[in-house]
Amino acid sequence: MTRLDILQGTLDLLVLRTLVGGPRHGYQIARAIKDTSDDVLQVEEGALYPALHRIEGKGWIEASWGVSENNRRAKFYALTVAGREALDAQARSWNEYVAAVSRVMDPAEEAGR
Amino acid sequence: MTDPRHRRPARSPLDGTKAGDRIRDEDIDAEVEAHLAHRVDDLVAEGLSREEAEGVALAEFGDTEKFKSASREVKKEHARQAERSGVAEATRQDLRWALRQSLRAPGFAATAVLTLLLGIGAAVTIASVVGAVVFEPLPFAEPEEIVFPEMLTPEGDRFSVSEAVFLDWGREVASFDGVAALHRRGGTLRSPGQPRSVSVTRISHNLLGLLGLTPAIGRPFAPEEDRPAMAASVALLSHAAWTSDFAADPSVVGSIVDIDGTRHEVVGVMPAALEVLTGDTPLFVPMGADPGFDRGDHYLDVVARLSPGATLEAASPELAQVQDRLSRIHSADLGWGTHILSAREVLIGSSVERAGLMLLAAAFVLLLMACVNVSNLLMVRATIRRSEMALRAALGASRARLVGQLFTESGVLALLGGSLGIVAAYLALPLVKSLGAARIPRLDTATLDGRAVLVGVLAAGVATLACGLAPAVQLRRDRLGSTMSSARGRDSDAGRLLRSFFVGGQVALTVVLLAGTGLLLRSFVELSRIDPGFEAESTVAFSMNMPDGSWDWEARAELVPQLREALASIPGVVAAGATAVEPFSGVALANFVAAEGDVPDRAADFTPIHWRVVTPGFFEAMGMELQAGRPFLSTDGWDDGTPVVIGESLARTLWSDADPIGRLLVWGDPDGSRMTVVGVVEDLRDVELDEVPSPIVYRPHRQIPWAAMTMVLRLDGVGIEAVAPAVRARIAESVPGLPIGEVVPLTAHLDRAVAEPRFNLQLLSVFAVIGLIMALVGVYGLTAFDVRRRFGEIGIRLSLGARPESIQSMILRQRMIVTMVGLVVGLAAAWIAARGLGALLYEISPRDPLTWVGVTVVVASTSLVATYLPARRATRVDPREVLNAE
Repeated sequence: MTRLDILQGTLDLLVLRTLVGGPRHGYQIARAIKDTSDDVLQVEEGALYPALHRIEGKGWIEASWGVSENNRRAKFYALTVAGREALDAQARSWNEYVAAVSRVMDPAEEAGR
Repeated sequence: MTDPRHRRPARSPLDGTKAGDRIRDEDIDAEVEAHLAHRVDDLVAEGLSREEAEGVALAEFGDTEKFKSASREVKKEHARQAERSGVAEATRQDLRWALRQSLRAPGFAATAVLTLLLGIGAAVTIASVVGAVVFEPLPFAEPEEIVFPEMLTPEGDRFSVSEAVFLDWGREVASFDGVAALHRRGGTLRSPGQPRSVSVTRISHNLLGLLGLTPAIGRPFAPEEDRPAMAASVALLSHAAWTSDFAADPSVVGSIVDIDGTRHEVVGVMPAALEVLTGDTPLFVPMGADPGFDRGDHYLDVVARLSPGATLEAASPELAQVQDRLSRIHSADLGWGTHILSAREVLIGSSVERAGLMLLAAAFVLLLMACVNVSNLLMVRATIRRSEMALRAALGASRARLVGQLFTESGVLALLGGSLGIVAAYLALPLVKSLGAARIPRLDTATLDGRAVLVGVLAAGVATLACGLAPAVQLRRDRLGSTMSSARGRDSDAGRLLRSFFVGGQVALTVVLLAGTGLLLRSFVELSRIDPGFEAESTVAFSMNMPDGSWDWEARAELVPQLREALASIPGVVAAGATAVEPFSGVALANFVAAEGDVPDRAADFTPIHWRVVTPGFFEAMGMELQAGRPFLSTDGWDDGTPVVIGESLARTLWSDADPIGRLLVWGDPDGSRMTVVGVVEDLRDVELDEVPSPIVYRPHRQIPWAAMTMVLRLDGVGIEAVAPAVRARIAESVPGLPIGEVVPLTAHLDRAVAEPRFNLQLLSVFAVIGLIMALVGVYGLTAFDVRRRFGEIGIRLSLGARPESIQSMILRQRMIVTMVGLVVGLAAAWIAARGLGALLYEISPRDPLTWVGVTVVVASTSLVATYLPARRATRVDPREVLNAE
């Protein structure tokens, strides 16, 4: 299986998606993306942090220091209301995109509907 | 903002300070360390040694310093943004954003700015011109009190006034506070400089005071210099002559000029404002009107100021009564009437006024089109940007902030388009002035009009702002989530309808502009086709003057044939002859004639005619066709029955179909001279090209050896450049000291006659072309946008097997319906508006079928092209590409 580089916009989407279950710190977010995509989507872990700070700047996530499950100090990120809406919007357009692509790739399905 | 969803996350008060920077850096370090520590924990749990684990964790993380500094940059940027919360900063940001937006879509910005530039440029230029020519008050004190009383011939034609009648009016008409007169005549200025033939205007001393003007320098004429029949030898210079010939030297006052051999002292310089009334005449002398002069000699233009409280309507019957009494007392001008015209009518003219208003209307139609086009562009963008707006709102931008941003964006467009438009108007103004300088009064005084600038900029501002803010308004209506869900922004039905309305409206306005232009063009072609009765090509003319002081009556009669001989010997000159009335000079001498054997009892029942003195060779030089009899011979004078030549229309009037040759003409009154008709020539249109030629009588120069003549030369195979110096040389040789004017082609006179209609046509054509381009851009732009918008739909249709041609015709059909509605509405509006053009048209009905069919074809085919091109693109859509892009 080939590994795909993650496009920047997509990384935002994935980060937001990861935080739906509740606040997570950076390492958890990196792991979650890797694990849930069965290691196909690979992110150089360091690249996550500028992205997190950028998303924080947009007001989609909020950061606060806390204590992790390992009893270590870690910075936790939580989804804001605006972040929630942005995720919905981006997810929907992503889905439309995917659907459109698959319609073209497999017109028979479209005709059969 | 009460909705907590739109609140930005709270920020540390330390952000954006030096201390804030330090804390932020430590924060990032700590975060990266925490990440690495967690990874090491996991790896150790998997069985790696702590050292191995640290190596792997670092490797997986990548370049820590790079990511830390990238993070610092991101954070710093946010801190900076948080700092800029002031309104000024927000505006600066918006401006930068607006510019960046424009740069990102250069086509959009350029189109919008160019459109506004053209619209505002045209409107401001024309409003400035029309303002100066039509709306600017005449440069006199209380100009609405200034009127021009005239005589009316028994046929109802406007006519000038005799010296005695002018003096009587001044004494007897109570409605007039004062009455002044002007008489423009030819003269010779002998010094300073070379002797030259110039026009000299005799004025009554009260002219300046009556108009409320004072001389630029020096003094006006005194009453004692204007005693009846005893004008003093003093002169005033025109302002133009003073500045051009005397370099505006104030010491000219007190100097001596030689006019017609008499030394005149220059007592002052006329104000420039007088030129609207006196034209290019360089010299003024006192009139010394003579009450004893023949009342049948009409040549004065009369100006009057209404008494306080008097109106033009009230003055008219009083003047008519006074004149009726005068006519009876003196048994002169019997059957004549009077007539009073307003100063505007005389000095500006109703046709100029009408044309000015038409051009102004056209310019504002153009401005309207420009605004519609820009609105359209902005609306299209608004649709595209709805999702962006929604996103920004979601990110916490307040609505006020969004409106502010859109406001700035549209404002930048309006400002750019507006200021460039004003620059364009500033540059175009001299050009427009040079187009119509010859005949349009006051055109040369036109400057950029502040009011026009204001109107233009306001219109552009309203258009851009109203439509520029549309996205924010739409935002209010849209539910945030629903807009954001479609990243490409969905088109609303209302938007599509409005855009269709705009395109239709634009097509309609174009039709109006084109129809007006078409009618003027057709009229102009007709006007240019008029046979003036002479051949202007290859004919040149110059004025010459043989004043009393140098040549007496007999000497002049001998001089002219001698001159003709000298000139005819110039190689290339095939005919030479002179006339007392310069073609298209506006001068007309009038009298009355009757046919012997059918002479009415009263002079009032005679046939009014124009008449002029010409020399042998004149008809030939002008290329006028002799229809019967013979032309003048050099022997024609008072002998042999006083021979005259008449125009064809007079021949018809007096003798219908009978042969007029050898018949007798009775001159002036029942006891007048009997003259023998020896020839009939074709009529000449040299007063106004579009006026029906008057009946005319030509008298040979030997009968009345006129002093100021215009010599006409017919050339063959040589140009004016070669002939002009030869003429000067030959005259200097054969008649030294004879002053002559500049040698000009006769076409120059013809050009002057068509200057005004050509001016109108040129401007309106430019407008129509710009209008057509705007409509083209509008229709094209919107269709292209429509097609783009529907790429997805088209892609799907194509992938489902639709034929490209059917998609193309679907789009064509939908768009052309809008165009056709616009076309029909435009034709209806233009049809109504064309009635107003009637007075400006020559020989062309406002219902001219060729124009209307032509306009319809041009607009329909242009729209078809503008629709077809983008529609064809729709057929080239590659479904895969489209869907990927979505």
